[in-house]
Amino acid sequence: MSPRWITAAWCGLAAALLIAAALSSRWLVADVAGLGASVSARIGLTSVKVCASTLGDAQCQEVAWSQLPGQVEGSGWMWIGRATFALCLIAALGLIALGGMAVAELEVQLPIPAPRLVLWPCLALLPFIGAYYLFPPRAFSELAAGRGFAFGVVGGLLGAFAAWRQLKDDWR
Amino acid sequence: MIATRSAAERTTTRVAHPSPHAAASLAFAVGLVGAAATARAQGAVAADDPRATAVGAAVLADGGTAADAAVATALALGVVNPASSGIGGGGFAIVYDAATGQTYAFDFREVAPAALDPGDFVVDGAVDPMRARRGGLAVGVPGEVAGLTLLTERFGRLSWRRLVAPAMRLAREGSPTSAFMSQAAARVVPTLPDEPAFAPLRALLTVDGAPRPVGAPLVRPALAATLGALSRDRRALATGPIADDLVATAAAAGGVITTADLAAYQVAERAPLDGRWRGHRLATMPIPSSGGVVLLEALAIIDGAGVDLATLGASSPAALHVIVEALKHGFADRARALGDTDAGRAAARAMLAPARLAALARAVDRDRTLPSARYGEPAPVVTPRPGGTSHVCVVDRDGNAVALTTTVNGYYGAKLVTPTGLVLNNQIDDFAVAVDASNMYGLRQGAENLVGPGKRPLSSMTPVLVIDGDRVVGCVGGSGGPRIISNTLQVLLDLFVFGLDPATAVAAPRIHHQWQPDVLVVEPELPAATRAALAARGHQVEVADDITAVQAIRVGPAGAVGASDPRKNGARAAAAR
Repeated sequence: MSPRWITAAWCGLAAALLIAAALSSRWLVADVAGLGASVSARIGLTSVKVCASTLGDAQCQEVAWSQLPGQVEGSGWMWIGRATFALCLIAALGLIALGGMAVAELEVQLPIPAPRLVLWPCLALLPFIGAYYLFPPRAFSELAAGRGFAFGVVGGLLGAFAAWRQLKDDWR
Repeated sequence: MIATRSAAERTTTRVAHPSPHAAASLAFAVGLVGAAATARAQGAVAADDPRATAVGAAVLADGGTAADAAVATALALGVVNPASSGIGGGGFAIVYDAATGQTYAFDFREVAPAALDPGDFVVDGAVDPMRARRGGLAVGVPGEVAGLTLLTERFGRLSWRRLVAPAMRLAREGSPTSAFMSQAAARVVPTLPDEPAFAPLRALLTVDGAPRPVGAPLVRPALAATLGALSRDRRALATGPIADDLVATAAAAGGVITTADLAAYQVAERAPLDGRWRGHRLATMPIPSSGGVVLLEALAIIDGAGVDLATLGASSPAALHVIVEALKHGFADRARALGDTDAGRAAARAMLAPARLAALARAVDRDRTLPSARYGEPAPVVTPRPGGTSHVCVVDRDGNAVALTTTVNGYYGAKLVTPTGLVLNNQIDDFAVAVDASNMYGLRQGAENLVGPGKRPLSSMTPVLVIDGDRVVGCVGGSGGPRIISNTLQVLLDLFVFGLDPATAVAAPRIHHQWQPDVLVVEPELPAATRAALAARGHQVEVADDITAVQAIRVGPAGAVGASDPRKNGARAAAAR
């Protein structure tokens, strides 16, 4: 396989992971069962989804941060979540564009090389992901990290790798 | 609707015919190791501390009545657990007399001294709430001895001396410092001002300058002597040298209490606040307790909210949400309208009007919490008319029952200890020192509860007896300021709606909301998923582990099963035949 196709594959995989991360409702997860009811809480980057099951009858409720005035709105954590969401999508779009340019063998002249423009959001994503895990409001503390984190971290690293690889090829 | 035969009766550990000393030793040992033993027999005692529980069990085994056991237990609690209660404080009692089927309510809450002036709490034009929390001005006229004396006179069988003797022995011979007392000491010692007035409490709470460690011998000879005098003369705290000593201690710290206040103190016998709930009769405390009113209001709202709580599951977010919404209405009413005045009493009646409760219940949104201003609306329609706590539950073999809550208010009350060993209450902080000013529990309070001479401050103490026909089937109550109301409510629901056994019910993680501040406090043990689910309903969730201990007894066909809250000293109920 030619290097440009390999670059495109890396970019595509990373973009898919980052989109999955942005849309995932499983960044923080917790489940509890007992005393007649089971509850699952799934927290994404911009909302919380709670499902409660009583006697086999499950009901789910999804609430955006903007609908939780007391708990989350105005807290730094909410903005970290929104920024992470935005960075995931920006990085994913950049990676898709980068992959497309590689496949089409397009060279776009920009003041800053295109791979570098993609590399930065991929790397910037990582501290935001860490902060989102480390500093939730107390109502959401002690929840476990879910697959959203895995998608975000792996997607960010893969995307950075793909962008770096393209940057290196461009230097040659 | 109600779980009539709870698991409690099936999970009982029976104690067969213990001698008084054996019962005491057993209960003490059980409490010390924190084992989950619950005892059943024809009577039961549940209290904050295993040594006090054992005292009550021994009294029952000696043929004492529920009132005898409650009195002896309360006196012992004041010795081993001075952070919460003692003869320098006051309390409430609900008594059920099985022979007549009558229920009684006794109010021996502290009274504001006659010379107390609301202006005493204003310094340089601003209200200083610390004056109501610490020092001489914080001290209300104690009523505990008068109340306990009256209980034994009206409902007792054993001699007063017999009931005082165990507490006196504990004070004289000493006992190990409990984990709860050690925690309370560690919390209070760093906050004590370096002033002579607070030196006696510092001496009580420290060993070699450090907060008293668990297990350190707690010997209180001065209190033992006071209890000795009290056993000989029930009025020893009302007149004479002990009374003079109390007045002098308060005065040295800026207080205005007088010997005339002490001599004039009267227990108020009130009509119990009665409510019907799921086929039971609930007998609880009327004003000046806000606990009974808010409890009945919350239970009615929960029942009228159109949800079958039992099917939602105990501690489920959906059930907790409805409970919180009901509590917020109750606490909003409490803040706006209740107090020890005619208007406050009228408001209490109006709060419980069925049509109003139905309207509040209809307003409960099962999925979302409401803006703060919506709680307690519609406001109660009042027709103007002229004019640190411990709880003990006792049921005896004859079916008599006592729910007794006593207190010095905050941990170690006003932080004053008399030379005769009394820890003086800081009950004045339960008043509002200014309209809408918050007290140490963060409770906002209205004009009806403004501090004033001769008034009794609004309380949250909620002793409850649950009565079916002519027999008591439950006793619940607790300690912990306003959390008493919410926590008593939850244990009642756990016992009578969710069908939990008493030990599970009192140990289950609980929540608290008092309308303002608009924060839902949950215990750390509440699962993370449940906390998140409550936040998703709009609640501002805070995790805190402030101690609120609830005691409970459930009486079933096989007898009485009691449970003491492990949050304080891990004590478990004791029983006697």
